[in-house]
Parts: sequence; C-alpha cells; structure tokens
Amino acid sequence: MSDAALTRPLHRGVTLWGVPGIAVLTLAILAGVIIGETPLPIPTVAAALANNLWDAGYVIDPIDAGIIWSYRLPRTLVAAACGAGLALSGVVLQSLVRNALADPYLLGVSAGAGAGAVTVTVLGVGGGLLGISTGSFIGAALAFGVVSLLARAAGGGPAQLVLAGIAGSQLFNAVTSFLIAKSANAEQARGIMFWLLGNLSGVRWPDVSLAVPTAVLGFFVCLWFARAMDAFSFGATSAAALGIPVRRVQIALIGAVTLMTAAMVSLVGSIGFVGLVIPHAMRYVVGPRHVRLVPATALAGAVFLIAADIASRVLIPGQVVPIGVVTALVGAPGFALILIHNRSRV
Amino acid sequence: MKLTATSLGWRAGSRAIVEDVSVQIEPGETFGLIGPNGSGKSTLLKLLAGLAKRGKGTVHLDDRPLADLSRREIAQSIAFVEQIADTSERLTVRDVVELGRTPWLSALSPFDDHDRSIVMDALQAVDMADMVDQAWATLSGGERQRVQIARALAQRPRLLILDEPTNHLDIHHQMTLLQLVSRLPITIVMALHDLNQAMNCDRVGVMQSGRLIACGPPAEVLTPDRLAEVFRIRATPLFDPTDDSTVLHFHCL
Repeated sequence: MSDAALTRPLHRGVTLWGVPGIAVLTLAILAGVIIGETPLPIPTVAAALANNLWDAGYVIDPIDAGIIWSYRLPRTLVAAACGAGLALSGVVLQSLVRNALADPYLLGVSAGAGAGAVTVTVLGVGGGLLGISTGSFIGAALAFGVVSLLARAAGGGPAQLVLAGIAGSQLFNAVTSFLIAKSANAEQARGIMFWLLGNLSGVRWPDVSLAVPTAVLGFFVCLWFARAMDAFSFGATSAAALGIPVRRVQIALIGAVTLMTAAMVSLVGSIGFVGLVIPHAMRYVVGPRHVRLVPATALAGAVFLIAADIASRVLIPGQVVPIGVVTALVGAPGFALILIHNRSRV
Repeated sequence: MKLTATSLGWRAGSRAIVEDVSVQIEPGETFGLIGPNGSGKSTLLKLLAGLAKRGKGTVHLDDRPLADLSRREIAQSIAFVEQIADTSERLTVRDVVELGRTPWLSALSPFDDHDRSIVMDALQAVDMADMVDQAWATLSGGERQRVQIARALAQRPRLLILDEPTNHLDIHHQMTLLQLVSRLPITIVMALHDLNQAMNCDRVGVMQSGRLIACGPPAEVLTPDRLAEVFRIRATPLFDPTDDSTVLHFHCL
C-alpha cells in the first residue's frame, strides 16, 4: 500500500469534518463568553482574550476583563469538556452493553461519583480538587461494579441492566443524603445540594486544567476504539470472533468512561440526559458507525452543554438556574422522542 | 488449513456440555457436525474457534496452539457465523459486511479500496450485492443469514465455522447457501440439522451428550443403526436416479 493511500482518507476526513467542527466549537465558546447577564460587546471580548493570550495590551475595563477571563471563559470551557465527556460516556456504554438506555446517569455511575465526591468533602479525607476527583472516581468505579454485578446476577438482560442502574442510583444517592444529614453543617449541605443539581458557577481555571485534558484523553481513547465499538454491534462473542480482544477493550473503555464521568461530576455535579440524548440524536445525523459518531457526539455534547449553560444564566434575570435542570428540561422531551421513535422502528 | 483439537471440554456448573472431544479437520474439507438438540454442537464450534471461555483441552491451528495467538490473528484465519445474530444499531448491509474487515484494519491501515472490493465480492458471493444500502432491521431471516456469511467471507478466512447456517432459510436458499459454502476453496466446519444436507459433506461428526461418538465419511457414519440410537428415528436410504444420490427417508421410532 502506498503512503498516499494510507494518509489520504484520514487526511480528507480530518479537513472535511475537523475544521468545521473546531470552527463550530470555537463559535460556541465565544458565544458562551459574550452572552450573559451583562452582555459584553465582541470587541471587548476579543481585546480581553488577546490581552491574556499574547499580552496585546489593549485598554479595557478591568471588571469586564475579569468577567471574561476569570469567570466566563473557564466556565464555558468546562461546560464544553463536560458536555463532550458525558456524551462520549453515553456512546461507549450504549455500544458495550448494547442497550439504547445506557448512560452514566441512568446506570448509577454519576450517583456513585457524586457519593464519592461528597464522602471526601464531608469527611474531609484528602480534600482539594484532586482529592475530590479521586473520591469521585472511586465512587463511580464502585457504582459501575455494583450495577454490572447486580445486572448479571439478575439474568443480564437489557431490562435488568436498567433496573440495576435504578437500584444503584438510589443506593448511592441515599449514601450521599445520609452523609449530608450526618456530617455536613447547614452551609455545606446547601452547597452540596446545589452542586448535585449541576452547577457551573464556581468554576475557575484549575477546574479547566482537570476537565479539558480528561475530555481530550477520553475523546482519543474513544476514537482509538471506534472500530472495536462497531464490532460490538452484534455482541461480545461476535466482537471476539472479529478479532477484538474483548476484555482489554472493555477495561480501557469503561476506564475512560469512569474517568470522564468522575471528573465531570466532581466539578459540576450530576448532569443528566446529555449522555442519553446527544448520542441518539447524532446517530440520526451521522449514522451508527463510531468513526463518525464519536467526533460528532463529542462536538454536539460540548455545544449542547455550552448552550445549556448560557440558558441557565439568562433564563431568569439575576438568578442562575442549575444546569442539570436546563438539560433535563430539554433532555426529557428528547428522551421521550427517542422512546417513541425506537418503537416505530421495531 | 489444518485444525487439530485435543480433548476439548466445557462445563456449565457441574454439567458437562462438551466432554473429551478430539478431532482433526483436514485442509479444504467440508466437515458437518450433527447431533440432537443440546448435544453440544454449538459449544464445540465455539471451542474450535477459541471463543468459549474457560474451555478445557487445546486447539492447534496448523501447528500453533490457539492459546498463543492473539484474537486478531485468530480472526484473520477463522471466521465464525453464529446461529442467531442481531443488533439494534441502525446498520446497513454494507456496514455489517464491512465489519468482516475488522481483523485486517488498524489505525495505520484504514479501510481502503482493496477492502471495499473484498466487501463487494463477499456480497456478490451470497447474492446480496443489490441490497447493500438496505437497513439490517428490514431484512428477512434468510437475508440476515446471508449477510452474516458475507461478513464472514469478507474476513478472508482459511477456516469458516458456521452454526446451523440453514436455519430459518427457505428450501431454495438452503440449497444455494450449501452450494455456495461447498464451492468455497476454504475449510468449512458447520453444524447441521438436516441429515440429508450432512450427506453432502466430506466427513461428518456425530455428537451425543457432549461427546463425539463417530466421525468419518457420511455413508459410513450415517448408518440406520446409529441414527436409530442417536436420533431415535428409523432411516431408510433411498436412491435418486436423477443425480445418482442417496437420500434418507425418516420414520419415528
């Protein structure tokens, strides 16, 4: 095979989809910075970004500069990373367990991550951003283990998995509530409850340095295993017969999902429906093949959560609606559409 | 390609599904596996393909033990068509057959024109080339089976293992499928329900309660006495002068 044949399709794919994709993402991030309770004019935003990125030295209002650089930009970047990470988690879980309803929220992984993060916060073990994320990761991994074992013990069907997910979610949410009731003071409790509904208000630059690398890493892991996820279409035995090292691929992908979900939940709380609705919507747009589905889902998830964050800031003047509420308001009807559409197809 | 299996076994809990099966598949032959329901045919096929976990015994591909090969290397030699394969993904016929190229692709050798022509050849071989853009969900059982076989052919295997490939097919497609399979220049191992179809194999193996109780050319193995013992039927061989073949006629015992 010639070098040209090796690189051509990949190269063409990257320019055909990658460039517009990055352009759309950039526009969405700019929108996230511009739109807010005090709309900032584009020249001011551009000047603030230029000042911080390459010391351009434009003269602008330091309050505007602070809002743009320290508040809205990190918040928007984290929203993008979370949206991409949660949507990718949905794609991976749906492929591996062959269940259209698989998603970190419904399978209890988010609840486990939340319980882990709250344990660290309330009990004060570890502490700090890394400590909370580690607790979150352990909780997410534990929840995934409990739910998969329970689903297998119950017979391993698709309905059993969803039911096990519900049981797991309830269990870990109860652990969270118990810990709050037992150990948190009133102020902590209010903060935790607000965070659990999904909240980007407290996001600053250190959060970006956790969220963005995690999402980028997760994206490349998913893309690397795109063909393997295709091979799971007819089940694990069929994937093995097609030469996929099933166990190794499952561990790598579940690891990536747990990492992404844990990082995102520890930063912004539990945000539902992104992992469920975005992958299904993208299947209608780009089809079921993961080479296209993974990038499309990552992009759509990022843009969707930026939009949801903007909506959460401007929906009620002077007040921030938790972003989990916004995604549920949009996601629940979207989910209903998926259910109805799946029925008419079968 | 030669496949040598030595004392294969597989248990579900305390029950032996396959027990102490040794068999050698010769290069280029068509080997039929028959036996009543639950006699362990499907499990034995999975063991031969290296797809059953915690199996006992060893399988050698030519002279290399299967356990020493990666899944990818195995899939480049052995293709497996399951009895039932279904998906809820909205795949087209082309998507499914392209899956067969999986063991040959990597990040550095992506899907290219060569793979595309192999996929089209495979579709033509099973007479599905004009349905490439059909959705999997809209296919009939027989069409699905043919697409799965095309997927297996796209793997370009040297050994093709099929688990009751003629199930759910109408009689015309059963015959064309077996014709297609027997014409392939590769080694075939398949489980079959129809004893008359097994008559056309080069050799047949008979499974009973997890054991391979007989193995050899159909005329020697499928004797009325053995069929009475294994399948609890009385078989009368009849001669069909139109093509000089022997067919079995069955009565309940």
